[in-house]
Amino acid sequence: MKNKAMTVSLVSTVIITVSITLMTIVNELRVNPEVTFFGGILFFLVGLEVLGGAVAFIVFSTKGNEKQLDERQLKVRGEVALYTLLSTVAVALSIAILSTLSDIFPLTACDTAYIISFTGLYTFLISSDINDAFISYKSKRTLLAIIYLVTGSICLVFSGVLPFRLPEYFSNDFRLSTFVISVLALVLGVEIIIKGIIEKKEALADEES
Amino acid sequence: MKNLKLKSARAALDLSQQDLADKVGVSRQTINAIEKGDYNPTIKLCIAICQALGKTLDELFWE
Repeated sequence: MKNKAMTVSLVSTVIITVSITLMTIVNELRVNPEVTFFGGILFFLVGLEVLGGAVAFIVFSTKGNEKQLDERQLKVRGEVALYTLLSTVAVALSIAILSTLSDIFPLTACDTAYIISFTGLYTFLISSDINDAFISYKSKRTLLAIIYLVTGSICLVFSGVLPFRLPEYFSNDFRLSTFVISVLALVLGVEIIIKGIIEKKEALADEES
Repeated sequence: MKNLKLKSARAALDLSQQDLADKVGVSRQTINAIEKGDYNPTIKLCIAICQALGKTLDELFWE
């Protein structure tokens, strides 16, 4: 039953993400005459590539790990899928409402696709690590934290939010999607560090008692 | 509700949460969650824990 709920949640997440991306692309094509039909197709392919990459990452990184997970870890996988679904829906709906309310929507279709996809992906990674389900970083936590923190910092620099200018061949314009991805990566890095500290403290307290 | 009986039975054998987890084939976090009362184990896991600690189900899991 839990596995069925998990599958439904993950499939719903994918369907909602693709639908919102398509709707945004159609809206972009309607309001922006500069975006050609082939440009729209390209946006869709980029979105699909990001989404496909995320799904492939999830499938391949969790394939065959049922034998390594114990009963509690298998049980909490439904919760992780639910959090992923909820965060994706919340972000997608927020973007949809904002685009309806404002006359000039600041996000492109590509930005929207990136933000929705990466929010779902990072929510999955964070809640998965917190609950020890799907992907549980058991070793090399410090290395993983450094990788995510460095990735987040690089994205933060390229998002244009920091008060210094990049070399001339890079755009200095503020990119919300890059900023969101940087924040998500930084949050994941910090989460890995905090969880590692908590785990060590728990193990130490157990040894002492 | 915390399972103090499990914790004391484990401590009596001088086992850490990790040692017990390795014996019954689960993660340390799962043993920790059972002791804290955050997770209700299946009867299969309860039996495995009882066998590892040399106790009966009544002694560890009956209120």
